[in-house]
Amino acid sequence: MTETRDDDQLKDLFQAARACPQDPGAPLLARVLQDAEAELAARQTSAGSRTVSVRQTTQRDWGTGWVRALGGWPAAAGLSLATCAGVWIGVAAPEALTRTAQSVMSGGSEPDVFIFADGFGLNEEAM
Amino acid sequence: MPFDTDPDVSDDVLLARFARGEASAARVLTQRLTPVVMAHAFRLLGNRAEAEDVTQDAMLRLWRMAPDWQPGTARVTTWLYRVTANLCIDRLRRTARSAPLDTVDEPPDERDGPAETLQMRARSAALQRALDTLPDRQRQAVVLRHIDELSNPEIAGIMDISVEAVESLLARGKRALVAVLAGRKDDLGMLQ
Repeated sequence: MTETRDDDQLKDLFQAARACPQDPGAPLLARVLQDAEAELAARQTSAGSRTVSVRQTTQRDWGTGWVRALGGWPAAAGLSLATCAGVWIGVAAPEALTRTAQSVMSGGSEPDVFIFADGFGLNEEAM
Repeated sequence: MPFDTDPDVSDDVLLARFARGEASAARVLTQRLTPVVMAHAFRLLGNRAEAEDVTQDAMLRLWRMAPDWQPGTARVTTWLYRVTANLCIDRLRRTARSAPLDTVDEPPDERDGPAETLQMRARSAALQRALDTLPDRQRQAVVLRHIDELSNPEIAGIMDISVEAVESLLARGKRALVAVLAGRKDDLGMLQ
């Protein structure tokens, strides 16, 4: 009841307030639009840098994929170690290995061949 | 700045277009929504310069939020009313409303006109002065209901309170307004 009376008394004032809104004015509209355009430009710039970042991530993924294909980081480390050892042996081989290799290459000795007389236990038909 | 060239296109659709990089959508949204935000901010703050600052800030938040907007979940204006009110209340709390009422900005008196227009402007200004005396939440509820003409459930959503709480704020707010304006009933042409 009281509220209805309040409504009646204030009705014309509310109507007047709706009829006289604050005009934002051209300068404010221009500032708001300028902000929107700046936001669009900033977003386009950040989208460009995101593309670069995705490309870098893709390259990193490619390397990680190879490691995974080799059996993970422990396997990759073992492979690297074996490669280094091979290179080292090639560059500075131990003396005994050099002598043996020379002997084999010059034909000065026959390699040991073991022949099992019983044909590894197989009978003649089978051989 | 062009007028709203396509009033049938919803704010939702325009915001999605803006998020995709269409500057023309920003122009229409600016034209359409800035006056709504400005009017609401002015009614809550009672000060044009501060209302302009809040309007620019609220619209900037709209541009930044655009890529994350979920169409159909809420109305863009509802979101804007909430953001605007929060920015206004933050400002009011910071300044503690220390300005006496007679220093509060009047709406600019750009148009002199017939007596009826002058009466409207006098009523609007008097209401603004009375609104400025209300507690923040009562003022927000009264402005949303009786000037922005939103429904009570919409106001409840914006203010994050129940519909019953909105009704209570409205009743107390209007009673306080009538009390503040009691001495001016005759010159404002208010019903006795």
